[in-house]
Amino acid sequence: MSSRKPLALFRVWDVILIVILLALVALAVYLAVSPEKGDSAEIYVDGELYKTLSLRLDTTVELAHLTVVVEDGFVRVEDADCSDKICEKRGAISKAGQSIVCLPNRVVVKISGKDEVEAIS
Amino acid sequence: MKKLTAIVLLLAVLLCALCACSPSTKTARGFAMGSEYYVTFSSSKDFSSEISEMLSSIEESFSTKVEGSAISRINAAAESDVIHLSPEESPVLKRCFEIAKETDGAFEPAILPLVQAWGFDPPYIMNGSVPPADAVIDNARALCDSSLFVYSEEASSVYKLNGSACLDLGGAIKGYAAERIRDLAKERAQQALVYIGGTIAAVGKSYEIGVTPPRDSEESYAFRFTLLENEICATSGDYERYYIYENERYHHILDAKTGRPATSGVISATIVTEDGILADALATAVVVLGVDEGIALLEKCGAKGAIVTTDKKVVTYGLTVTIKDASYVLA
Repeated sequence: MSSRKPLALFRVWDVILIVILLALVALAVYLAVSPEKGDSAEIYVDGELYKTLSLRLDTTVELAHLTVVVEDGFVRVEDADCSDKICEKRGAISKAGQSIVCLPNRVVVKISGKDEVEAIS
Repeated sequence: MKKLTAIVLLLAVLLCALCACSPSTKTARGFAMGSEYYVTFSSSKDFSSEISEMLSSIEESFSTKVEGSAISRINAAAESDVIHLSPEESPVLKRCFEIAKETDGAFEPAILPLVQAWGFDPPYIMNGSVPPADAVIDNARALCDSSLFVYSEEASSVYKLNGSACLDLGGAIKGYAAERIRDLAKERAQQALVYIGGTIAAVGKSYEIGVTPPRDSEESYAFRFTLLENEICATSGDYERYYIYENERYHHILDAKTGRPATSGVISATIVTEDGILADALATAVVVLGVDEGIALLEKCGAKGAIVTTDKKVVTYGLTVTIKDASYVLA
């Protein structure tokens, strides 16, 4: 029997390909399962997305009938010109799934992100 | 070469899996029935406009604020004036009057005179409201009685025995709307979550639902439960609309028997059934009746529920809940 060089199981390019694949899988898994923190607030006016604000950045957005304020990771509504002021009384919110609704002015401020629940009754 | 082919195939499979992980979901949003609504659905077809049209048509039939709606026509009618109802309106009125009877008036569709007397009719003022005088309450209370309405299923009509009696289906109509949208979504989408001002319906799968903490909380919900496919849940509580006058909380869930905000010891009731009007109406009725009578009613109506008492105990009937805010305890 003639001695043969043992067959290489992996060649260099195979290894590189496998590493790339593994990295892709890891990225996919991370994207799929990483819990999204409530890190942004979406402002809807009349059912349409008007603006998305990062909760990490203190800011103030003046709308026609009320003001949305982001401060220290919380968002709240100020200076609403509606009669019931339910939106202002709601106070500051920061958790995914929470929302502030101003019905008279048809404005919804919603904290986006994944939570254990899919809706709040 | 074989190996290379295998790797390319693997890559393709991986890409497909990635795509499958993010199905195209759409959300229809807006305002209807004095509430925010949204419907999140996965479907190849966008039926958002059908949703908003259906909700507008329900509002046009049942709102006390829309001139010419069936409810406005009934409320404006004089004693004995016969009001004819459309094929869509008639069964809703029938169901509301039935539930009023089953709950012995704990859910009262003829509640409008009391709602107005207490200032909870929109647009109501949250601060600075003053409770009405006893005489005003007594006058309104006498009118809040479904038996002042004579409904005929055969004639699809209704007339009143007292011209001043008025209906307000606000305690049932979101449940009806959620049921109609659920049934539409069943035809149009594989899965859908229907949300109409806190009344929620599940289509095609079950969903995890949180319940609003009835008192100030750090958490976004007090506890959660699983809403099964086809089920509808509705929550009523004394925290939704209220005002404080001389350190007393006056909330919008009025007991037609006393003419005053319910003081049953229940601050929030979440009801689950497949019948939307029933879920919504029972949520109100249980807050009016209290825990014991409330649970007996759920049993009678074949509904499930979770009831929160003044001392933050959570009493469940047929529903498994997981507490999130530790200040609430399972009874």
